Amino acid sequence: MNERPSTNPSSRRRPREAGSTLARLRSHRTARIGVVAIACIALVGVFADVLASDLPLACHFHGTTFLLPAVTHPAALATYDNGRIEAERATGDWTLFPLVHFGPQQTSTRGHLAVLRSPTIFGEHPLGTDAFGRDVFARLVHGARTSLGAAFIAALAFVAIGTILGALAGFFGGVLDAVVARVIETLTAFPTLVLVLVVQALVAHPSLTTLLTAIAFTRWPEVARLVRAEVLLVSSQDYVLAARALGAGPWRILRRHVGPNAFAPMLVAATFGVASVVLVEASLDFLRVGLPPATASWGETLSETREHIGAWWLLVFPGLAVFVTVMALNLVGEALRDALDPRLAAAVGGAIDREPESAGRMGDGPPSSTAYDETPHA
Amino acid sequence: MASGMLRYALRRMLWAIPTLFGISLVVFFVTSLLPDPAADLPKRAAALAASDPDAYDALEEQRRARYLDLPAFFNATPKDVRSRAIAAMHHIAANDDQAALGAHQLAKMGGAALPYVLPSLDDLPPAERARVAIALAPVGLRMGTAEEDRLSDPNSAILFWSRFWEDRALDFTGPALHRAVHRLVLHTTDLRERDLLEVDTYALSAVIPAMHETDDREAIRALAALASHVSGRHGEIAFDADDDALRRAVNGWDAWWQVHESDYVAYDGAARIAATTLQTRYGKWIFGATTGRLGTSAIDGVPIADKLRARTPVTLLLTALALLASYAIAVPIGALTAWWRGRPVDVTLAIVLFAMYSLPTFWAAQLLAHTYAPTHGVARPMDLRHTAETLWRLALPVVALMLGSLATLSRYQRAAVLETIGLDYVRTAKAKGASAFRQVVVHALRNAMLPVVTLTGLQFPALLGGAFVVEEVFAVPGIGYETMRAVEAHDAAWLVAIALVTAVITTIALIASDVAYGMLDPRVREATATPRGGRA
Repeated sequence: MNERPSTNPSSRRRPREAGSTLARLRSHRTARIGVVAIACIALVGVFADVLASDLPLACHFHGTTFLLPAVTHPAALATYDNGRIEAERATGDWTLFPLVHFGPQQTSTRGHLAVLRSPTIFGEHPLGTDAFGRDVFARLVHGARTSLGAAFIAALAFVAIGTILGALAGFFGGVLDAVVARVIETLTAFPTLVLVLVVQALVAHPSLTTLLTAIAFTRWPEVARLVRAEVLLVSSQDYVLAARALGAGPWRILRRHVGPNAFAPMLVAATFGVASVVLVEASLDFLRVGLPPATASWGETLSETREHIGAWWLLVFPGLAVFVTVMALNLVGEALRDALDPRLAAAVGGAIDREPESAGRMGDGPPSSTAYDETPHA
Repeated sequence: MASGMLRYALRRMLWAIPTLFGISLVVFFVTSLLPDPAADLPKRAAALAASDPDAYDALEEQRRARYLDLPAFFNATPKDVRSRAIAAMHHIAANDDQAALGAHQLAKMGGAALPYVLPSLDDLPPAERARVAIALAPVGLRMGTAEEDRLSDPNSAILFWSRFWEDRALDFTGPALHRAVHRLVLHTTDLRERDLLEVDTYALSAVIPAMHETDDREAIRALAALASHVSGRHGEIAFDADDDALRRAVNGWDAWWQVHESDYVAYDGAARIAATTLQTRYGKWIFGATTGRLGTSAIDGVPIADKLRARTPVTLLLTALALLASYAIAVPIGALTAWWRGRPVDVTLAIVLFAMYSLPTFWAAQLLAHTYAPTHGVARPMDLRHTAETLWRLALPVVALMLGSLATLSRYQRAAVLETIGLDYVRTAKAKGASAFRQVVVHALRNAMLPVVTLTGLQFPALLGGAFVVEEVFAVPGIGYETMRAVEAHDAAWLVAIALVTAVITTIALIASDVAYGMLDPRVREATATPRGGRA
C-alpha cells in the first residue's frame, strides 16, 4: 500500500463479507449476553412509563376510562397522581397501577421524611428516594430512556458524518483527503469531555440538542478515521483495480465494492460510539453541566451523592446502571470486531487493533496514533 | 542516524502547525457560541448615545472586549482613528441623527483625532465649523488648557481650536511624542506630565508601550495615571501596589490597548494591509491568546494566564502519574497473561480487565472517595514542592484515573505480545532452545511494546478529560476543579482558555509520543523521512 513496512500481518487480510460476519457474531456467546443486556435496558427505557409513573397505567375514574394517562396527559387528570386517584376513588372505579407509583419528577410529599429514604425492596420506594424526595427507581428507568435514547441519536449523527467524510476522503484522496485528515487530527486533540463541557457551559440555553450536537461534533473523526482506513485498504485491492480497468465509474466502485466493506468498521464504531456517548453524557450530568437538572438521568442521581455521603443507594444503583450499559455495549462492540477479523479472534480473543501504519495513516502526514476503538474513560 | 531522527522530529512538528491552526479555529468557533450581549447595538447606537451615553459606553465596551464590532476573518475596510474622526466630524457638521453619537465618539477619541479634524476645520461653512468646535469641548477640558465658557461659545471655540492647531501641530507628531514620553519616564515631573496631557489621547500610542520599557515604579504609575485620565478607563496604580498588582495593572492596559488601539492610531501603508487581517475578531483573539492575554477571571479578577500557570502543573502531574502507573502495571500484566494464555489466571484477569475497561471513571472515583476519603469540599491549595504530601494527596485520584487506561493498555499489550510470539524471529529463538520466559520477556516484549507506546497519544486526551472529573470528586486544585468553579460562576474567559489549553497540551503529547515511537522504531522515521511515492 505504501512504502512503510508493515509490522502487522492483518493488513494483508482480505476484505470480508458482511454475511459471514453476522453469522460469526451469532455464534459468539459473550456477544449474545451483551445484546440481550442492551435489549433489556432499551426495553426498560421504552416502557419506563409502565414501570414507574405518577399516573396509573389505566383507570376508570369518576365515570371516565383513561388508558396510559401518564403518556397522553389528559386535562382531566392534570392535578392528579396515583395517591390522589387512590384516595378519591368512587364506587365502580378501578385502577391498574404501574410497578412503582411515582414518576421521575414527582416528589414524595408525605411528611418531612420524604427526602433521602433508604431502599425498601417491597415498600413504595424500592430503591429509595433522592435528595429531592424523588423515587430513585423511577429516575433510573426513565434515565435509561434519556441515556440510551440520547446515545443512539448522537451516535447515529456522528457515525453518519464520519462515514460520509471518511469514505469520500479515503476514496477520492488528494486535497479532500488532506483537509479531512487535518480536521480529524485537530478534533482528536480535544478531550471529548472537556470540549463538550465547555460548549455546554457557554451556550445560552444548554439542552439535550446542544449536548448531542457537541458530542457528535467531537466524536465523528473517530469514525471517519476508521472508515477512511478501510476504504483505502479496499481501494487498493486487485478486484477494485479490475473493476476500474473494466471502466466502472467512481460511484459504482464506491457503491458496489467499497460500501459493503466499509459497513463493518462503521458498525463497530457505532457500537463503541454509543458506549462513549453514554459515558460522556453521564459524566457531564454528574458534573451538572449536562442536561437540565430536572431531567431524569443516571449521572444526575449520582451527582447527589456528593452532598449526601451516607446515601449509598444514590451512588450504587445509578453507577451500576451506567456500568452495565457500557459493559454490554463494549461486549457487543468487541464481539463485532472479533467477528470482522476472525484471524485475531481465534488467536487473541479480542482487544487487538490493527497497526496505525497498516491502514490508519493520515494523508502524507506523520504516523498518527490510531486505534480501533477508544472509549474515553470519562 | 542522529540527523535522520532530527529531521523526523522536525517534520513531525511542522505537521502540527496546521493542527494548531485548526485548534485555534475550533476554539474561536466555541467563543462565538457565547451570546452577543447587545447584537442590536449598531442599529440603536445613535439613539442610545443621545439619550444615555453611559449605558451606550457600557454596552459597547462589553461587545468590543470580545471584538464583536469586527468582522470574523477579513476586514476589507479597517477603521482607524482617521476614518472614525472624519466620519464623526461629518455627522456633527451635518447635524444628522448620528450627530450625538459622533460627538460622543469624537470626545472619546480626543487628542488622537485632532490631526484629522482641526486642519479641515477651516474648510467647513461657519455653522458647521461651530458645531464641530463645540463638540470638541470635552477634549479641551480634559487637556486643561481652556475654561468651559470659552470652549462652549461658538466663536471663541472656533478661535481657540484654530489657534491651538497653529501652536501645537508640531506636538502631534511621532518624534515629538516619543521624546515627551521618554522624558517623563526618565524623570517624572508635573511639567513633563502637563506636556503629555496637552496632546491628550494622542499620547496613548507611546504611553502604553512605555509601561513595559521601564522598571521605575514611579514612572509606570505616572504613565498609568496619564492613560487613565485621557482614556477614562480606571487603570490607576495605587501608591502601595505590590509587584503583582503592578504587573496586572500593566497587563490590563495591554489588554485594553489590544481592544482600543484603532481608536487612537491611524493605519498607513503596511500597517493598513496588516489591519485587514489583524483588525478582525479572529485576528485579535489569536493575537491575544498567543501572547498570553486570555482575559481575566470573572471569579476573582486574576488574569487567566496566571491561574493556568498555577493550576496546570497539578493536572499534568496527576495525568502523567496515572499514565506512568498504568504503563508500569499494564506491561507486565499484558506479558504475563500472554504467557499464561488460556489458563484460569488469564481468563480471570481478562474478565476483570474487561470490567475495569468499562468502569466509568466518575463512578470509580466517587466510590473510592466514598470509601476512603469521605470528605468533600473546597480544594486546599497544593504545593508541588512538598513531594511527599503531594503524592499522598494524589494517590487516590491517580488510582481512580488510571483504572480505565490500565485495562486498555493491558489488553493491548497482551494482544501485541501474542502477535509477536507468532513471528519468525521468536520461533527461531524457540527453535534454538530459548526458554518460554526468554521468548516472551527478551524477544517478544520489546517489539510488542512499540504499538502500545503509540497508544499514549490516545490515552492522554482520555486521561486529561478523566482528570477533570477526578479532580472535582477529590477536590484536587487543578484545571479541572477550577473549570467547575468557572462553570458555576459563568466565567467564559476561563472556559475558552481551557478548551484551547487542553487541545494544545494534547497536541504536544501526541507529537512527543510520535517522536518517541520514531526513536524506538527506525522503520517509522525512515518511512516518513523519505518522500512518498504515488498513491496506492
